[in-house]
Amino acid sequence: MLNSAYKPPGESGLWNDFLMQLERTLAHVDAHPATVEYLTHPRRTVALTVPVQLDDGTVNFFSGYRVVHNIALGPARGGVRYHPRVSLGQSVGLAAIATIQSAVFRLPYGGAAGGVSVDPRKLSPGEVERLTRRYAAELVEVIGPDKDILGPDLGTGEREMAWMMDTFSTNRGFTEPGVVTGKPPQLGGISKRGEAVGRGVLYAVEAFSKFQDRDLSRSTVAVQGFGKVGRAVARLFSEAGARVVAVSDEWGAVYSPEGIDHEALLAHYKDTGRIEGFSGAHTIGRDALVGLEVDFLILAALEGLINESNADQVRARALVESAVGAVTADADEQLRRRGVPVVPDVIAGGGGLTMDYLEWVQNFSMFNWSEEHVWSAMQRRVAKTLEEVCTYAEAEEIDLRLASYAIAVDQINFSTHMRGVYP
Amino acid sequence: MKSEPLSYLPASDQGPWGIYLEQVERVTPYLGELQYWVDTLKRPKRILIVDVPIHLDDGTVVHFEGYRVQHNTSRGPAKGGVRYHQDVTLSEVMALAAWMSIKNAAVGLPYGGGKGGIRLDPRQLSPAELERVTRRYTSEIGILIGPKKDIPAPDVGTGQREMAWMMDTFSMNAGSTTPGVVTGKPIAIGGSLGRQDATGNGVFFTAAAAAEKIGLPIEGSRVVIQGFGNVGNAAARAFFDHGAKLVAISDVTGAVYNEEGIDPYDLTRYVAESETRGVLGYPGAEPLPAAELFAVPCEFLVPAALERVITEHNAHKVQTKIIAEGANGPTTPAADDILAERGVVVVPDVIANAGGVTVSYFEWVQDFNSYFWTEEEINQNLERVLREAFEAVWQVAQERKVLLRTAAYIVAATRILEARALRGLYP
Repeated sequence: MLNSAYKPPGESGLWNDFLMQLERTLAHVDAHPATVEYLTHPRRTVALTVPVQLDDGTVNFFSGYRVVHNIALGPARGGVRYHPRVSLGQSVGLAAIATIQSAVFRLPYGGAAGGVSVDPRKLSPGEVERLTRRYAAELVEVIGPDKDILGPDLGTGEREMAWMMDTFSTNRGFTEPGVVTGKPPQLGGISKRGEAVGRGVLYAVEAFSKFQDRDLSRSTVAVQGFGKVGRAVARLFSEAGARVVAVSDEWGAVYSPEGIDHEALLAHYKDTGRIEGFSGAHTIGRDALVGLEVDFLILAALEGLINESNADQVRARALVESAVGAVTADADEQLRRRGVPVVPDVIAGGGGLTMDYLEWVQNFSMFNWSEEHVWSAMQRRVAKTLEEVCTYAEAEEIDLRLASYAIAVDQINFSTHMRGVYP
Repeated sequence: MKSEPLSYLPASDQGPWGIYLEQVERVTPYLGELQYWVDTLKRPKRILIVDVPIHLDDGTVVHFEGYRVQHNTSRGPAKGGVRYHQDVTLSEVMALAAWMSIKNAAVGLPYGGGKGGIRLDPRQLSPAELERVTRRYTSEIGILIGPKKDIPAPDVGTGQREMAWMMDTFSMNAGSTTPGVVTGKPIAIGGSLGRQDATGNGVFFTAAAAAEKIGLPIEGSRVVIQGFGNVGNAAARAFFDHGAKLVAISDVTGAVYNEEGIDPYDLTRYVAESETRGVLGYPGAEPLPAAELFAVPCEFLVPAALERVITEHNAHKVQTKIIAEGANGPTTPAADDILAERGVVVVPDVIANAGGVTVSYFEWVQDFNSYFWTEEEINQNLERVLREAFEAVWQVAQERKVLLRTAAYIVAATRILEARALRGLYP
């Protein structure tokens, strides 16, 4: 059925996974053929060359992308990634998942994604600034608070968002904070935005536990990934009373059945740059983390780390996909057959999305709510979405990912149908 | 290489802009690494000088000189009033624009600073002539202003009538109703409730925040107010409503005193009916020589009239714990030092009389949504914004061991330059 779908050049793992999930969804919900065509083709792909003068005077060219997948529900919205593995195929896949995510959260956004194929750690701050400003300047015509809203992703943060906002605003001739989210609070961002993704995961797992009549404070947790999100997840779950028994990073993992002292681990990590060798826990192999018997295995690293080669080792009672595409479609099917629930990326990653939405709304009227108001609004939205998905999944006897996609596709189908095809 | 001085002001006489530059020099040592960006504060972003020709009622044509200055837009669009006065100069408009940058940043509003003006004496023009001047001026500065670019407001010589004309002219040129281009409009076309009392209420909110810090209750404390216009009157009512005792109030006609307290509502009724339209002769209090007003023992003193009224000549006579500056610049630098030595807390004008611009901000926010708040919501938000502003200034004053006035400048300059550093230099 999806044979006519768009095929990006080169690597397209995430996009293919999305198409497989979509195909599964279309067997479950009715969608108009036009909706299917829209969803299987990105609406607009921009591929850019980003020339940057390096500090040594030479000029380097980088490849940049911005993909808008769908705008049936509102302006496109999605992150900007700086990573050597950024490709058109990856951007298309991330943009499609962003479409599904906004729809299941019932937020008035379509989906987009983009980035630059670059290792930002190899550039000086001045070089990153020139790269960022050139990338944003090239996109001025196609982005904007009512067209396509950029946000932080892997390799980008408040600093890059400030530069993008400034470049866009100065180009347009007036301050336009709503063109990017995840800005520093001084420029219209939300304070502690860096915690938003981690808190979103916590709130989703809390709501999931509640739905299953389980007590999060008596659960054990393993966290894959110790980057910005992984660190926040480990700390927030410890603070919420859960026992974080294992943590991994790029190089290794540590495990302690009694629970890991987060502050001590963080101190060790700051000293040595990795978590291996932490004296407060046993060092285990990085991949051994996947096989631990825990209540929740939280995937907060890169995409595709749970795949057909290791899915059979999973002993966790549930998986939580904080990183987009952490579970490949093949692995997802294996886990489904074994009855292991996966809280999918489109739900678990909703904290960042919801905070971006609240920031964007505030930017329209330049009026900021209090911090408590913002966080409790986010918590309510995440809990409500998770409850809706769980209820639907239970009634239809399907998995959470399929339930999320079904709700999302239904939303998009309705909106596409109502709007019709222009002209 | 260093930035050259501005060429368009004579180096020998910088006028009010020179006073502003001195203030920047004084705050610079406190800015740490942000000093790197300090020239940002010393140069206005944009200056527009426009010729404003109109037909007078007698059929002749006369030209006026108009200005619009945007001092800084790092934290958001420029914001500041439009002044009609025969003594308006470029230097004055530049300094007033810069002081708006400082004020907006000190209060934490998402604005830069701007100011405009026309060199004319509005009393010499008929309403129809004023309308033509206002419309032509708005059209001429139309390339710079807009809800996301630069938002004018009333100032000396202008009011809600002029704001309505400005809003109409801009909207007609733009082809769509754009209420958010100016604030201080009449309620009927997108103005905000609570504007009339905003500055006076703000004086009370910041004074109350200061009182909390030094453990001084409002209930039962004594208040002296200089000036019974918009600001003084609203401040008097706010203090009275919270249980304070208004022991002395003055205006241009004189001063009155009652140690048992004056009812401001009753006094307002008297002023409206009295021959002089002033407080003089109010039967509910005794007359007081105006020169003795500042010597009346009290807990709160609110100068809400003119500038430079508390000087080195009378500062040592002041018998109060807190001075909340409702007027602009009522305390001279020399008086500041004397008051500090005597332990009097001075809540500086930058935040104490910021209620007006804060409600202007609320008006603009409401205009984006075309959804309007109740007066209660306005006042709740006003109190929150000003309390947060006071808190930030108080913290800095404690940490750096400086006066609140200096602290307010440190907070403001830091916020502006932080935004500048975060945004970086375009391109």
